[in-house]
Amino acid sequence: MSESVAEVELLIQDGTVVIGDRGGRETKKLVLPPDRNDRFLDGPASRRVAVVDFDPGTGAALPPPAAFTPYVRGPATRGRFRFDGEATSASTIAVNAFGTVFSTIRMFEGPDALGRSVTWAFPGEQLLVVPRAGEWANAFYDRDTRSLQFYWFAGQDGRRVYTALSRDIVSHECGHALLDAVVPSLYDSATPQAIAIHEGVADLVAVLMALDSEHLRTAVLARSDNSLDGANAFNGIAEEFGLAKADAGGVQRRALRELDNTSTLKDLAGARPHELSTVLSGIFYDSLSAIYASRLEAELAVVRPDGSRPSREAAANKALGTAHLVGRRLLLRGIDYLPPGELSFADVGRASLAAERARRPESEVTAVHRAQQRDFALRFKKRLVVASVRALDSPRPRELDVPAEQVTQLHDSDWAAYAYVTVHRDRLGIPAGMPFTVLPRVDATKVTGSRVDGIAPTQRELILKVAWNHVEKVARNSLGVQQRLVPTGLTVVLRWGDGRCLALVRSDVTGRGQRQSRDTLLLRLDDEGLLDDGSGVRLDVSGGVAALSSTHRLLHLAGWED
Amino acid sequence: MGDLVVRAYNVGFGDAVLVSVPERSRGRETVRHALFDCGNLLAGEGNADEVFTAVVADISARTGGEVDLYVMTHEHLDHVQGLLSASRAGVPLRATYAWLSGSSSPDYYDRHPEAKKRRLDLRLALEDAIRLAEADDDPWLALMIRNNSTMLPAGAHALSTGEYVDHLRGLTEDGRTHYVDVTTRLRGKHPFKEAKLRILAPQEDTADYYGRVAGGGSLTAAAAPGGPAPARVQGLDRPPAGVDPGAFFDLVQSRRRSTRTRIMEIDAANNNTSVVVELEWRGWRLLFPGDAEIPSWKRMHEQGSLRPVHVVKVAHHGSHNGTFEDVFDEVLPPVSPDGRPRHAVVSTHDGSWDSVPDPDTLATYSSRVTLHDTRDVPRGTAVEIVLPG
Repeated sequence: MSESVAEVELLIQDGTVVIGDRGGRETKKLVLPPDRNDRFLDGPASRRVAVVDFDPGTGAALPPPAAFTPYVRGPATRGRFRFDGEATSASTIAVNAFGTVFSTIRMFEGPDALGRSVTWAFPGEQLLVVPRAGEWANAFYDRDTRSLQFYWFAGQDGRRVYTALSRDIVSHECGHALLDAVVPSLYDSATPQAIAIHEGVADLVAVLMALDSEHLRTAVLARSDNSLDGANAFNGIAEEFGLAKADAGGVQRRALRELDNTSTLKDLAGARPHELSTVLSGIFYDSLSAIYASRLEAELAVVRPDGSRPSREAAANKALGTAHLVGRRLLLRGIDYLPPGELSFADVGRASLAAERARRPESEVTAVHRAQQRDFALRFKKRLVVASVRALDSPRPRELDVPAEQVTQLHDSDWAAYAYVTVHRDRLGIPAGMPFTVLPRVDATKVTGSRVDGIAPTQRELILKVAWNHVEKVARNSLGVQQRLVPTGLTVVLRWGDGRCLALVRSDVTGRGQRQSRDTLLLRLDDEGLLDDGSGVRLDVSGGVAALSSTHRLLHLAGWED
Repeated sequence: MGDLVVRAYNVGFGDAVLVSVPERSRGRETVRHALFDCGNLLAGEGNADEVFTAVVADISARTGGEVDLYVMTHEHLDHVQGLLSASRAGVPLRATYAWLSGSSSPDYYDRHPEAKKRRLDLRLALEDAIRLAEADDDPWLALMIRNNSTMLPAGAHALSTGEYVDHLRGLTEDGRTHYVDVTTRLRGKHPFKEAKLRILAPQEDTADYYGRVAGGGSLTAAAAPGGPAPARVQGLDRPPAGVDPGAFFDLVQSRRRSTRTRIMEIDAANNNTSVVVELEWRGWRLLFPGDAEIPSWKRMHEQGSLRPVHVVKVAHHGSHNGTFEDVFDEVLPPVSPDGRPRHAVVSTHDGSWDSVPDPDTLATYSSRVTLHDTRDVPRGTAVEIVLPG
C-alpha cells in the first residue's frame, strides 16, 4: 500500500512569534505509515487522531471544520488540509492542532525515539483533539474522554488566545497522552514528584518538537548568537500563553514555564507539581544545552576535504540537530524503560542512563559518551535529586540473558514470560511471596547511531515489565485510612538478536522520604476537599487499604494548574 | 396554655413552613407567627401556581394578613416566589419583620470582594449553562437554571427570580427588613418576647461556600459586546465520518456531565447561603436549616453551634447532601436527652430528582424521630406538629 500524505500549514511556535516572511508558518507533510489501513479524512481525521470541533457560542458538536482535498494530479492518497488564511478560523485552529499532534506522535514513536507504536492508555485506537473546547486559560489531556482539550481565553489586551494554536501547548498535551500510553501508572501517582514527572516530560516533548522545526532552530540561533544559554524559544514553554496571562501572583512573565533555571529539589520542597517539574525538565534542558555546546565545538573544528571550515551558523545548526537527536533518545527511550508504578525523578534519570547504555556495546562506548553520561548524572546530584551518582546506576546481569530463540517466545507467550520472571524473581528483587503481574511485552526497533551510506544501524529490543503492589502504613489521618497500596515494579530489556540483557531498571518506593511525601499529599488533598468534591481525584478504600487514583487531574484543577 | 404548631405546607417542590408560637406577656397570650420561605420549583408558566394562592390564603387567615417574621432562607426559586405570585393573584401577605439571607443584601458583594469574585465565576458558569441549554434540549438543566437565576442581572435571559426577592425586600414597613448572618445581633430585629432565636448560619463571608467550580472554564463564550449574536447552529447528533463513535459519544456525554456538575455546584453554593435559625420555646428547641448542605453543617459544627433539638426541618428537601451524618448525633442524639418526643419534617416531592428525597436519608431521621412528610397530605394543605406548652 502506498503512503498517505497530507500537506498542512502549521504555526512554527504560536501567534506571538513571527519568524521569516510567512508570518511564522511552515508547511509540513504528514505521512501515514504505509503498513496501516489508514487514510486522511475531513476533520482532520485519521485512524489514530481525529478532530472534534464544538461551536463556541452554543457548545454544539460541529461538522468537520477542515476538508481533506486530494491533489488534482496524483494518487488520491495525497492531498492537503486547506489553510483558509484566517489566523483564528475554525479550520486553521483545527489543522494546526491536528498537524502538531500528528507530528508529535510520529516524533515520539519514530526510530530515533521509541521505535514502536504505543497503545493508548484508553480503550480504542483514536485520540480525539478538541481544538475549541471552551473558554478557560487551560488545555489538558483527559484519559476518560480519550481526548486532548484546548481552550481559548481573553489575553490582557482582550484578544482571544487559542491554546490550540500554540505548538508548545499542543505538543505538551500530546506528550501527556503519549506518556500515559507508555507509563499508565503515573496517572494515579501518590507523590507530587511522580505527578511532576508527567509535567516535566510533557514540557520536554514540547522542547523536542520546537527543536524539530528547522525554521525555528535557525531563527533562534540567529537571534541568540548561536547560544542556547538564557531565555529563548526552546526553553520558554508556551510563550503566547505566558505573555497573555500573568502568573498566580499577578507577575507578568515571558512564558508559561521556563526551563532555564537552577532550582534544586530542596528549593522547591512543598511546591506544586507544575513548579516542581522544572527541576526535572531543567536537568534535561541543561544536558541538551551542554551537548549542543560540545557538539558545536566539534563541528567548528571540522576541516572539510577541500580545506574549508563550516560557517558558524552551519556548524551551530548541525550541532543543534545532533543535540536534539541525543536529547530525544535520552528522554524518550528513558521513559520507555521506566518501571511501572510510583516513580521519582531519580527513576527517570536511572532509566534514561540505562537506555543510553543499552544503545551500544561496551566496546563502542567512547570517552565522549562516558563524559556525556557522567555529566547527565551529575546534574541530578547538583539539583539534589540524588545524594550520589551511584544511585542512578542499574545493572545488566548476565544471568538474565536468554537464548536468542527464546526472545520471541517471551514476547508472544504470557506463560513463557511468567515462567522467566518466576525463575529470576530473587535476582529481579521481587519480594518473597509477592504476587506480580507481567505486562504485555514491547517490541521496539531503534536507530542506535549515525547513518553510514544512508543506512542507520538499528537494534531490536524486547521490553518486559513486571508490576506488583507494595503495602505500607499510613500516617494518622482523618480519613480512617491505615494502610496504602503503592504500585511498583521493574523493567528488563533484552536484545532481540542475541537475548542479551541490556538493562534491569528497578524503582524503590519504600524510602522514608517517599512515604512521607505520600502522606503529605494525601492530607493535603483531604484538607482541600479534593477527595470528595467531584474533582475526579479518587481515594478507593477496600479492606482498610487505600489507593489514590486519577491524581493526574490535579494538573488541571483550579488552584493546582499553575 | 396554647401549643406551638409547626405547619409544613405541601407546595410541590419547595418550602413553606409556618411556625405559630404562643407567647405570654403581661398575663396575656399572643400567638406570633414566623413563616420560613414560600416557593415551588415546579410552578407553571410565569411561575404562577394556584397552590400559592391557597397556601398564602390559609396563612393570611391564620395571621391576620401579616406574619410577625418572614424568613427567606436563600435565593432559590423554590423558596422565594410564593408571596409575589399570591399577591398577583389577589392574596397579599405582609410581614412585621423580615430576615433575608445576608448575601442577598444589595450591597453585599461590594462589601465582600472575595465572595464577589467567586460569585462572578459562578455567574459565568450559569450563563454558559444557559447557552448550552439553548442548543441542547435538557429540561433538568432548564429547571436548574431557573432555580438559580437570581445570580443573573435583572431581566437577563427573561429569567426573573430576582423580582421575587425584590418583593420580599418590601414585605415590611419602617426598615424592619434585615439581611442576616451568623454575626447579626438580633436584639430589636424580631417580634418574639418569650421565644429565643439564634442564627447558626450563614457565615458573614460566603466565599468559603463556593466549591471548586470557581475559576474553572466554560464550554461556550458570549458574543463580544456590541457584536452580532452567534448564528444558530444545528449541532451534530452523531459523529463525523472517521471519528470513533464510542469516543465521540463519551466526549459529548462528558461535556454534558460537566455542565450538570457545575450547575449543581452553583446550586450547592446558593444552598449553603441558607439562613439557619434555632428557635427555643418553653424547653422545646426547633431547627430550621433551609437548604444548608454539608459545608454549612461543617462550619456550624466547627463553631460549636449545633445542639440537640426536638424538631428539625430536614434540609434540602431530603437530599443526601442536606444531612451531614458526621454531625447528625449533635442535632438528634440516639436518645432524646430530656425524654421529650422529637419530630422531623420534610417538604419534598417525588419524580423531579433522582436523589430527592433520598430514601436512606429519610430512613436516618425516621430511625430516631417521628418523620412528617408533606407528600402525605394534599397539595395546598399542611402537615402539623404540635408541641404542648
